[in-house]
Amino acid sequence: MDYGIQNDELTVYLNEDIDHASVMRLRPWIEDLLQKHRPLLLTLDLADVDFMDSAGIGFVIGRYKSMKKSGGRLKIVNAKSKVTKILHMACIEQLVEIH
Amino acid sequence: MDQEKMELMIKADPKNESFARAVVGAFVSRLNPTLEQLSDIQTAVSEAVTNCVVHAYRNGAGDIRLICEMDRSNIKISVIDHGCGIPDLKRAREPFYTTCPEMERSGMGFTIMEAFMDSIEVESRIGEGTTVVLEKDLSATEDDVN
Repeated sequence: MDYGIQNDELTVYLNEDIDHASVMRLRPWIEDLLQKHRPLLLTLDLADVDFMDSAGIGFVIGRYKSMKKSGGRLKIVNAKSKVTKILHMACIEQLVEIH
Repeated sequence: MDQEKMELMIKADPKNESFARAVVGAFVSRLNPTLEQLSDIQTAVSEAVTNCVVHAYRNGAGDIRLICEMDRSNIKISVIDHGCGIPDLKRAREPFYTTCPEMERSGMGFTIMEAFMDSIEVESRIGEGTTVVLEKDLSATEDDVN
């Protein structure tokens, strides 16, 4: 996992399976970044994510809530079809931009 | 293909979620599934195993037993725990229902298992444990399923 900051945008590049085990590590890491940089836009780049289960849905909704609370928004980019298939099951596209 | 069977016993530990789905994936690969079928099965297994880790053994350690059987094009996966059991099975299977919102659990585990497999059976007894049986026919096309 890696991240980049440009103006008010924080882009997080995830490169592992998103499941219950990884989310327990990713959640505090990203929340620390949000606290530190206070971005208006959080972009999750999922280009290198090959697996996501329902833990990923909870993770995305959690970050959506964090961004909404601080007046910002969340965007997901480069997700593979098997990942978007999971996100669509929870209608995440109604809350989050998915590109 | 003749009947095949594989059993796996793992500790209810988060790191074993990926291990379980990798082992099941390797076993199922003998039936030459499509990439989508393989991904669906691995996702369903991940959900079932995660339920054991997060819910069944929430108060302590325990073992998870996976039994995988294949017969011709059919795959059957049983995920068995001896944890706390599910008090309200009907409610547990409702989309977005979770007893752990503070852990950011989405409550979509059973919904995903139902959507990605052909059938799911759940038996649970309070204080004794839960068995989830997942089945999928790999010869079925999307049109057959729909």
